[in-house]
Amino acid sequence: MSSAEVLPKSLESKIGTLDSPDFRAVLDALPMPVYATDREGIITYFNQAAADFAGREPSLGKDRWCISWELRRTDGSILPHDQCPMAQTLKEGRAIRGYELVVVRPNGTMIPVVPYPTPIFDKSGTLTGAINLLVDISERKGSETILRTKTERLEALGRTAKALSSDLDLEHIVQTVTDSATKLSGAKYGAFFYRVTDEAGEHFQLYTLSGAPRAAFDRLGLPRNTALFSATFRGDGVVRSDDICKHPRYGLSEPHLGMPPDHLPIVSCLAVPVVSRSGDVLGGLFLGHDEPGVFSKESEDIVEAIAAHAAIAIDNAHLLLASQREAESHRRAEQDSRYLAAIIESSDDAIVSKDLNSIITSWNNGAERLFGYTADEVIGKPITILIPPGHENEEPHILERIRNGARVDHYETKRRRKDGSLVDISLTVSPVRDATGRVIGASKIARNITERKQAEETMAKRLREQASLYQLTEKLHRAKGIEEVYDAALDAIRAALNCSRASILLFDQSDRMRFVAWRGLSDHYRRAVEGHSPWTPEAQDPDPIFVEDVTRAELSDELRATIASEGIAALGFIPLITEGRLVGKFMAYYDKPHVFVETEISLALTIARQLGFSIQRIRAERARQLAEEQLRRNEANERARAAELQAIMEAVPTPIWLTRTSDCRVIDGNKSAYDLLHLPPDSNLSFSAPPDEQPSHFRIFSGGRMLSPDEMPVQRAARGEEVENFEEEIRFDDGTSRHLLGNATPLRNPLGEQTGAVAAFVDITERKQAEEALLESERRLKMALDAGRMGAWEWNLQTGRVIWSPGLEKLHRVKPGAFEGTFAAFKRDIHPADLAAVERAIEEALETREDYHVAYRIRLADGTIRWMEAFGRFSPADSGTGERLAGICMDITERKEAEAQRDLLVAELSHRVKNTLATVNSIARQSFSTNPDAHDAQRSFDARIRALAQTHTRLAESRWSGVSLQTILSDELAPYRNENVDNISLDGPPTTLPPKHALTLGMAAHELATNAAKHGALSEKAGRVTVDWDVDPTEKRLRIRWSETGGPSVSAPTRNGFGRLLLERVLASDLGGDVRLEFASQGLTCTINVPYPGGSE
Amino acid sequence: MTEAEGCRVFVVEDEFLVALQIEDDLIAAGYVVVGPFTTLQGSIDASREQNFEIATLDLNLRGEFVYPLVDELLARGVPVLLLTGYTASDLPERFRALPRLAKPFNGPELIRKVESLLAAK
Repeated sequence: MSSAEVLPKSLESKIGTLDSPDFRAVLDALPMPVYATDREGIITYFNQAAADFAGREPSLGKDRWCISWELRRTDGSILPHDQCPMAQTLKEGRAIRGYELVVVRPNGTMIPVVPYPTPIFDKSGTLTGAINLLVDISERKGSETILRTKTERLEALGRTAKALSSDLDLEHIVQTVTDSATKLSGAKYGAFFYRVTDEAGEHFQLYTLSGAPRAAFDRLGLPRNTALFSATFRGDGVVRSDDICKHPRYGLSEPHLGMPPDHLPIVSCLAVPVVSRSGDVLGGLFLGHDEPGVFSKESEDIVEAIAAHAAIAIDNAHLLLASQREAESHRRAEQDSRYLAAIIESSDDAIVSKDLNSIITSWNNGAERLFGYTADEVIGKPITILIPPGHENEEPHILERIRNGARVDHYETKRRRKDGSLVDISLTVSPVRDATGRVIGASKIARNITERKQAEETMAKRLREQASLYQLTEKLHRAKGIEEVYDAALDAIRAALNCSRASILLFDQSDRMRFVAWRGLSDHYRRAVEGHSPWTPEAQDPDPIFVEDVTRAELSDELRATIASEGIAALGFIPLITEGRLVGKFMAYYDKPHVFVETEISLALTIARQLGFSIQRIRAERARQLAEEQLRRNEANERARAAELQAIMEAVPTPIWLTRTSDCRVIDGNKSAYDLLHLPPDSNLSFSAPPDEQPSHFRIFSGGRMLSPDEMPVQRAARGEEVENFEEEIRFDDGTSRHLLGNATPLRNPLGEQTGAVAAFVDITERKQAEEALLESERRLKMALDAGRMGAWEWNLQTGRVIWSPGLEKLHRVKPGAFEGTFAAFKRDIHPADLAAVERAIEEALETREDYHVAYRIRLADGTIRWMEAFGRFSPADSGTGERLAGICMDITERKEAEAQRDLLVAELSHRVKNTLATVNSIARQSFSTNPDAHDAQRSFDARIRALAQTHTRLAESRWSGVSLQTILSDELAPYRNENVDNISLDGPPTTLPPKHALTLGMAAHELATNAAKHGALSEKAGRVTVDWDVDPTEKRLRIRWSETGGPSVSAPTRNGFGRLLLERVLASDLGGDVRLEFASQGLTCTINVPYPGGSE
Repeated sequence: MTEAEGCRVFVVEDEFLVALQIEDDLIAAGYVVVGPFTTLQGSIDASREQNFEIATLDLNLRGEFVYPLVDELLARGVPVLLLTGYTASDLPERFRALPRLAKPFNGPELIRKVESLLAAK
């Protein structure tokens, strides 16, 4: 607020003196408290608003600094009046601003106020006083403080203000009078009382006191117009008593009928009235003493004289005061016009005057600030320029009231500013009268209440928000379904966040954000943004996101376009959390950019918490209902299924056993079971039952052994075992029996406890018998096949499928069942050399439909070759199967091998025989061609053939495994041995000769022996032949040394006969040996050195 | 027998007495004898070093059959005469058609076979 400014001339000219009715009207019309003081701070003026405001009638000329009963600082502490801003203004001679105080009324109510004390200077610039404007901010203050109201109680109601002393001379006069009267009369106490007349009657007001503390009168009450003092009050005369209690009129008046208790100890008493010149009783002088008989007639006269002087003095003093007041009132009138101007100009409120034609006549700075027009622009213009459309009829009504002299108080309306904007104002209009009291215009005070309105709106909004939250809480609490929760939440979101549209989205099972509830969103928009989420379900405590202006937010162009096309300008994402997990979000949408304030964010989070909690509650509830429903359905299904199963069980042709206890004391069966066992329905089928309940006409066997009750399948299953593919035989007493195959399984209740067992069996008696018959024939066939190393096969010509019996697979060294079953697989094993022959045989059989017979080799996986011989026969197509070629296959490898061995032997024999004949042929030719003597040649040939035959015989004896060297030599030398002279000596380790060595060495020994007998040592009696030999195992050579002694002297032969040829060439050639013949004179020596494959035996 | 003059015959025979007779017969007919050789390996080695127009081969050389040498000589286009006690059915299929002289044979038979083979060459 600006300081006091010079009043506009137009206004100043209208303000006359204090007594001017215009001035009073304007001042009184002010809706704000205004008061003025003089230089000292004494209150010299206040308007009605000030008195109303203070809750008391300020005491003009007495109250100082402030009109209030009490002042406090905003913190509640008491602010002494002499320290108030007004006192400060007067001390410092400047306007004080910026304080906020609390005015306390006598009734205890408190009003927050902003004072605007402004100093007043006269034309010479001297401070003459100050004016103070109190602006009641309780409306604003109240709005601001409602939420944080602190109720402060009044401290004490009965505290009285201290009387302010006057600096009038009168007081000095009266004090002097009292003091002197007391002293002069010899009184111990003296007092001067004014006469006062009010509702309580006529009484004296203590004015001055002498000889006693004022406190002594506090409890005394004031002298009243009693019977005793009526003379004093009326001014009729003096009351004098030596002992007041003995006065004839003492004790006649109520209530005390004498002196009140604790009264000053008055015995002697003197009371003298003070009467003015005009005869008015001004008061009285009361003198007293605690001893009797103090006041004499003389005393009485003195006091009367003093009273007379006093009366004159008081009258004079009154006259002085009156004249002073007269002068003061003129000065004040002048000052007050300045006060008013200052008030008007210093006011924040617009103060406007207009005439009865609504033409503006004055316009203050406040008005300029409020409405935007300057005074020059609007003075002379109709007030209606301020009135916006829709409010046109207000002005005639206001004028009507003004013409009738009535006021318009605090009328709240809207006015239009110069710039066209509207402003909320509170309007107070008072009539302005001229000196004759005629209404000549109106003074309007307009206060900008936009701020207050805003505060109120904020307050209302806050209340609305709070209310929406309470409603949400209540609705959520009562919500029965999720839809109600969503509805309540959407209502609350829109009310609390002041948004036009809202939605709720939750993650679906594939963690995609989906709309579950919404208000005011198009299908298109929802489809376009569904799945968009700033958070994944894993987000931990995500913060809400507020987009205050979509056009400025960081969004993809596409998303921005989608949002814009939906008319959304701002939006908020608020996460929904249940049990610490993000489950979704709710959205608030705004048509215009929106700034999210603290309270909205806080409310949003509160709603999110409540919504999250409710969703969780409803979901849990729904899950529980579903579970219950499921349970009910399950129970019903179970019952239906049980009935169904019962029916099925009875109907199936399969025997079924059922027990409902794990001890199997009772086993029921279905119809098939009873039929099978030849028992009436409802018989107990259990062998675990007591003896008299058990079935007795059959026994149960399995694996050829009778079963004890515990080994029976139902009993085993009842103990928890799954019995599968159990085969049993029921042997009846009449010798018949049935074979059963089946399963038994334990029954458990939902808790997994064992509650019995059920078994179902198939009667396989017929099958069993057929199987056994088949098995028997198969067994016989298998025996036959196995015995002959045979396998069976079948080739279905229609399907191409080849079946091998296990025996055939075994012959092919294929694991049982591993044969692939195709013709190609069959051919794969056939030896390539024989494949063509096999194929040819098959083709022939197919062409001729005659029996198939072929022998072939197969090559097994390990490379072994086996001979097979196959026989097959066609079986014509019968029902279901095509034409087949079936037969057997034999492994004939051993036979083939034996045949081959025989062929080999025959060939070998042939070879040897023919070789031998060739050799004999050669020997013959050599024997005859080298010996001219035919007879001799004949004999030699015979001997050679015999020697050869002898070695053959030896070889045959050993089955051609070999002959010992000793034997060969003994055989050849035997004809010449003479036991008497021991002419032959053989010495060497046992040495076995292989057939070739034996034959060759045998022939060599024959030639040497024959030669020795004919020409050498054995031709004479003294001759000796020594043969010794040894084997060198490392060199693998056999060395034989033949030496003759004691024979005729020897010379080298003249011709090479057969013997030498044989020794020197055949031995060398056939055995790879080395033969040396030495024809020494004492006898022949022959050394044979041949490779020798074996070691000594 | 002028055409036999100097004609070289490769002789393989492990039975020396038989080889002796073959040698005698061939020499008597005017042939030059290369060998006789008595082992398979020895005869294969010699066949690669010596020049000859025809070969007489014993089939079984101390248990080893002479077939590898037969194959080699046939591949070289040398006429081969098998001298053996085996019958045709005892021989492997591919050798059954070869000229063969069964043991025991006499000299004129041998010479006739050798001559006819040389003539066919």
